[in-house]
Amino acid sequence: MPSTDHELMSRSRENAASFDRLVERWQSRVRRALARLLGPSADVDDLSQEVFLRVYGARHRYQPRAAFSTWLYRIVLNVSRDARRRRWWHRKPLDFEPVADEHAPIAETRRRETRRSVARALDRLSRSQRELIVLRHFTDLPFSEMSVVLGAPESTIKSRLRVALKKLHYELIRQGVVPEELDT
Amino acid sequence: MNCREIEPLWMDWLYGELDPGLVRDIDAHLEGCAPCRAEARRLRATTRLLRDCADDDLGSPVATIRRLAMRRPEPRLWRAASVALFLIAVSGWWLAAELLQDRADGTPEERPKPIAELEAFEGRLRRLEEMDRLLAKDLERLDQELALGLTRFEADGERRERTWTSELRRLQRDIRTLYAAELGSTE
Repeated sequence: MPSTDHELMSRSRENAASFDRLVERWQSRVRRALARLLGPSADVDDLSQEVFLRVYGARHRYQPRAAFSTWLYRIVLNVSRDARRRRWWHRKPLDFEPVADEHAPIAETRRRETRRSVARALDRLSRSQRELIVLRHFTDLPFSEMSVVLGAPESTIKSRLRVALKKLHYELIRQGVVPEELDT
Repeated sequence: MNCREIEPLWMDWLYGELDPGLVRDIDAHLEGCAPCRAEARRLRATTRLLRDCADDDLGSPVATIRRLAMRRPEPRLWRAASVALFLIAVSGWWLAAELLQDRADGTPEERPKPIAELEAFEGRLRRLEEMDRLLAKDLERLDQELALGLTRFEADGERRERTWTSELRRLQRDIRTLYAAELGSTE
């Protein structure tokens, strides 16, 4: 029977292999969330390392009060907020220019273009709107856990998410990804 | 079901978290309501695009994470430094105020002695109360951060943080003793 996240976390205090297993289990979700929170130009590898460094650093203080994912995604949000602040400080522009690859099939190129447009549209939302959409769509957190991570009641989370999706929809129209007639 | 009743249910409907009965009611409403139908189309189109992007393969750099995790990160020294600076500033201000007060007490043309003493006494109490309040706030914040486990301190840093917490507690005790002594001096 596979160990739970709580078990791995408490074992990682003495056993580094448990921490490795925890990283393996969560890293792709963490990286996906970071990539969506910060856009394609973000250094997702470095930032996911920062997330797991914080997890590792806090392993002795960790207490399984809520789901491990709730605690982990709070760290992810903190790391992404710090990264955004740093990016603002260094005036580092977002790089959304599509990478030309003449050998890629047309369908794949189109898919990549759509992803870049979605990333660009997400980047135009406010921080809280982007966090809501990313937590819902790229981390599989249920509304109850989103409510704990973001510190707001479920009903508030739902109504804010609806507004965020609406805003994203209009941004996608601006990018030409969604046809305008959907809006009528 | 009408448009107003659907309002709080949109997200549960969109993410398939509603009872089948309610879904049937909403679908029936959508049949006859163009604005709600448009809203449903918008929400579905947006979430479909997001779902298409959710399966990005971003690779797997697990190898370097543990190596980096073993490296000790920089402790958050600025916090300790800022609290220390604050305490030094407050103590300096307090000492200066005491010295000025002592000089003022020595001059006969100053305010009548009992009033001046009372004011000085009240001033000292206020300053002690303020220091006590600020220390309590710092301690509460440190305790919260420790409990949440969200600090960046690593093994060595953790010990420093504990040392710092006990140092703050000691200061708090000293200040409370001084406060008690001040109060006792008037009895």
